[in-house]
Amino acid sequence: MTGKGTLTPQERTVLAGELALGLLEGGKLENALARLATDAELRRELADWNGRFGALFDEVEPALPPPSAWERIERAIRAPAGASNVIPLRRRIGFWQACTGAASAIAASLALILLLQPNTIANPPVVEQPAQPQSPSMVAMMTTDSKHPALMASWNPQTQMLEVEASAPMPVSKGRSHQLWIIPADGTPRSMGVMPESGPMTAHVSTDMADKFAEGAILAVSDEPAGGSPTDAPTGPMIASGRLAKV
Amino acid sequence: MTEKRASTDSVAGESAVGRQVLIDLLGSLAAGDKAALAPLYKRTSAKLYGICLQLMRSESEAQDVLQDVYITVWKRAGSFDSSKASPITWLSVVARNKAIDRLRKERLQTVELGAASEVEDKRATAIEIIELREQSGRLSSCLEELDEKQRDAVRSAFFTGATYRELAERDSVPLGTMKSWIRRALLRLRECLEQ
Repeated sequence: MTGKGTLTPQERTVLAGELALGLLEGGKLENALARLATDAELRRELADWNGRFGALFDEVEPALPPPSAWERIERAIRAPAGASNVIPLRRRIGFWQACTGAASAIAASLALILLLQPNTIANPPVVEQPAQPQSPSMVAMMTTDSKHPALMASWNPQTQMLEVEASAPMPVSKGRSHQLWIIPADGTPRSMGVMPESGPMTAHVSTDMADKFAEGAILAVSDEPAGGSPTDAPTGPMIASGRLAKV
Repeated sequence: MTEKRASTDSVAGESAVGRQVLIDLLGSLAAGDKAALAPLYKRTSAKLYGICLQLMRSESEAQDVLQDVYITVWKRAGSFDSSKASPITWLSVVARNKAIDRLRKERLQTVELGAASEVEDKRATAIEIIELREQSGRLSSCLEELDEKQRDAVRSAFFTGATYRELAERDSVPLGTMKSWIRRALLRLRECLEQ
């Protein structure tokens, strides 16, 4: 079985079983993961194998963990901005000032956003882009102040599609919204629009904005009034940010 | 190994009420309610710690993995689909996968890093989104129908989290032989379970 070409049903059954059991490593694992991102049938078979092997867990002897184990978990979850992604206002104002330089520097153009149907699959898609011969696809792992992963963004320059997906719960307070910004090399944030309340954000970016999505550009989410910032610049605290990097 | 109770539709020992409690707790976590983690932990940590110990062999490593597991559950509770999967099976698969990720990372520390560790990170991210569809087939009886070598290979893979290479080394057989045992086993199991 090579990395290319469609799998026969038997090959799919075997590959899914090997993934479920954790038998693969190196190049074979890499190929399998790449297939998983695009082959829904393979994902379904993997789901089936996980379900089939589930019965074997009953053979494992349960064991009580020490009390310290729970204490560590509780501390990790409770940590400031550990699970909550809203950063106190006073700590984050500096970020925007540094980005925008003079207070009057305002983003001139806004990206054209077309919000498409939210993803309805129960399990969010794996972020894995096939290699592009010309412009490379890029991803940004957006983390909170305390470096916890909050969102994953993927950028396809060929289709000019940006997809942003939360990897941790990001509850929005009443009367507020989360707004996405791209901050290219010139340091001026440009609005990418208000994020949907739930589910991933999929946006088609206009051509004149697409060249802002270069390696090293920052994607950031700020906490704004409902409907987004009343100005062309962020007014609320930054919740998460990350740099675009080639896949 | 303990006797597996006869059960086709539900995971052995999981009552309908217990199942619903876990579904509700996972739902609360998905909605951002941190307070749901403690009751979930109380109900499930013995089973999940047992799985971590089974794979990691050392208490301190098993506890490290257990921490990762519940943090992942907190982050990923939204991806659990109660119409497709049993909550305790989903949690168990998260635990097993986290333990395997850890085993892989430890192995990589003794060999060359770079590309190898990159694919393991990809594995950790990809497999964190657990795909799970509950099945009604009888795995134990289908396992019994396999040749001994095929059955032992599958069970060994499941309970130790070994790679093909490790399994082959342990049994002192060529890699190709181990692969063909597992492959035949998987195909025959599927055929048996889909009847």
